Amino acid sequence: MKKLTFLALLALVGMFACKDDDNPKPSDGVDLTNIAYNPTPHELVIPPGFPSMNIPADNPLTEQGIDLGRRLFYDPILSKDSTVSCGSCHGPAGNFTDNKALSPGVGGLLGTRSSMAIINSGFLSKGMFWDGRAPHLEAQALGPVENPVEMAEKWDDVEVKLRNHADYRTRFRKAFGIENSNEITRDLATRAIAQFERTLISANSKYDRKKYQLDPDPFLFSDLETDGLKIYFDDQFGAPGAPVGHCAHCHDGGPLLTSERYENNAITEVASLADFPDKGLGALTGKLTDNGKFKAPSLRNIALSAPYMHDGRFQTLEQVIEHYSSGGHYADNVITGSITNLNLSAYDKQALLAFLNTLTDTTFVNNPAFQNPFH
Amino acid sequence: MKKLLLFLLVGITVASCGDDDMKTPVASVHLNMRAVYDGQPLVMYQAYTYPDGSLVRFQTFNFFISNITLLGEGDTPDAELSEVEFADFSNNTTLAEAETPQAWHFEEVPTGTYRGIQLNIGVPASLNNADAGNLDADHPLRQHFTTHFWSDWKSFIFVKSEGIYDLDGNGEFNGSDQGFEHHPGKDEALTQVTKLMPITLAEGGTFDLNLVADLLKIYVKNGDALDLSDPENSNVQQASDLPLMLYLMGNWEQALSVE
Repeated sequence: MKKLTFLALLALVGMFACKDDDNPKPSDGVDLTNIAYNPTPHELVIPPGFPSMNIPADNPLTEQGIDLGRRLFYDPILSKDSTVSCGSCHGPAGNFTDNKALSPGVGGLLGTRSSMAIINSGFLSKGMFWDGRAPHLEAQALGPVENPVEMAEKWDDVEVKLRNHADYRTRFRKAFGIENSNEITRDLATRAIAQFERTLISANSKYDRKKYQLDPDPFLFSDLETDGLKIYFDDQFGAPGAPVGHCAHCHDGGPLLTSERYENNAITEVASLADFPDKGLGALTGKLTDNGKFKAPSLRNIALSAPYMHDGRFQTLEQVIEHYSSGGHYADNVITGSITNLNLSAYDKQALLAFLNTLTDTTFVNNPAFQNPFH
Repeated sequence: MKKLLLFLLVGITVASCGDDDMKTPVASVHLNMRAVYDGQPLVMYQAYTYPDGSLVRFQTFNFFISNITLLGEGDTPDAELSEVEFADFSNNTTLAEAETPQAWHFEEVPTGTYRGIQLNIGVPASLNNADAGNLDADHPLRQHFTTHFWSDWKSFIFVKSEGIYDLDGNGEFNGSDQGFEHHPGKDEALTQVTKLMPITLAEGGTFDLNLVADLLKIYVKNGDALDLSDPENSNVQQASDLPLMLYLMGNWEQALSVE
């Protein structure tokens, strides 16, 4: 009997001990004022043709902030069981996606949407996520941590973990000048991540080299690629019957190759606007006519970003082109001036594909400054 | 003693030239704009009757207005209210939204008598060809760069009007009807509009200037409506579409009115 009581007590003690380990303990804070705070401003180079970048006045780019942001981006410490980082779903090799239709979060749980590419995101101004629910990068970085199908963690616990982490204490001090580790907050963490993301600039594709005359070779584009460009931009100079793709209406915006429009791109057949399985923008605005609308993503590095669409339903660019050539499924909120039966020939589709491949910028995905610092 | 008096006099004179007395008297101008279709509030996704009797429906209507200027009368010089603004009626999906004007408030406008308002529909060449990398984050052209910059023209799209025309005449819209996207831009499409009306700005006062943009009137010239059943008229996006572009932009003088 005594043995049983002892065992039961032991088990109880064990349970409490486990509970404590699961929840990081807040500390009294560590004085950091002995660590030098001399942030180095980061000089951002805006490529030719690009608009100015939206940098909040309270979050200027510094080398220390960017370095911290990069670590936080790739560190699974942000997730409940230290298995998922931002980089898990946004890896550089896949143009900062995970090349999966739906991304697995903590415990392998799947979300409902494909991970968006993070590329030139610092230039965007019409909302983040497929439905635009976050107004800027700082706000965007808040979301995935507490999403149960992504990192499934609580920001309160992340803050404690970061405050208890000697290396992060130093890095937060160097980036933001905090005096005590208890000043490490989600606000500073997301600012750092946003700083890193603002450095993820791609402007060195074959298309850039031609468009912005970075390469003097007049034959840089093949005839096939040139024809594809014309279809993409509807640039046919009135040639009768010449093919048009209407692509740039949603995927131009200058060098960003996204108009940031929220549109129903006719991929889902519905009986009425109320019937979209994922309402997209409509779930946010409550407007029926916004149902089924999602943000048009940038087509930069699109060849590296498969699968495609907000739910990753298309595995290849050929399937995407086929969809748009057919016109997809009519609904009352489809922009039928662009999304309509295009009757593209096999050659037109081949040309369009060739042009899309000129948007690949391998120097971006291979940039050492963008890789996982823990590898 | 005389010197002291002179010193005081100079002092008083200098003090009297202070900021308060040198300030130009100013007033406020509230520019309000509504969009209508044939006089009726323009509700997106709502069907309207086109002059040929067919149904038409819009889902996007927005445009840049620039060099918004009050035209001075007599001794009153012209007063520019704003370099560029963006008017957007695309989110008006209810009657209440369509009846609520978009408003811009301009403060510190010099008082005086003005004979009207002048503005451009579109973006002046100086801005249209400017380096977007130098635009402040809150500049209207920067805010709408992604949605409205058309790199093939190296120009902003000045006006977006998008919708669908009931091609088969069956009284409802479907995939076989004619969608249209009219996106005029380029420097040569810039259109100046002048509306004459007496405007008197009294010091400290507010003047409400109410403009109405009638979308139907952009599609009608000399009583003839653009043939929306013609696929050639469904899009303005190629360099060769300049004639259609100029047709649409040329109708803005009649499309914009003061109420």
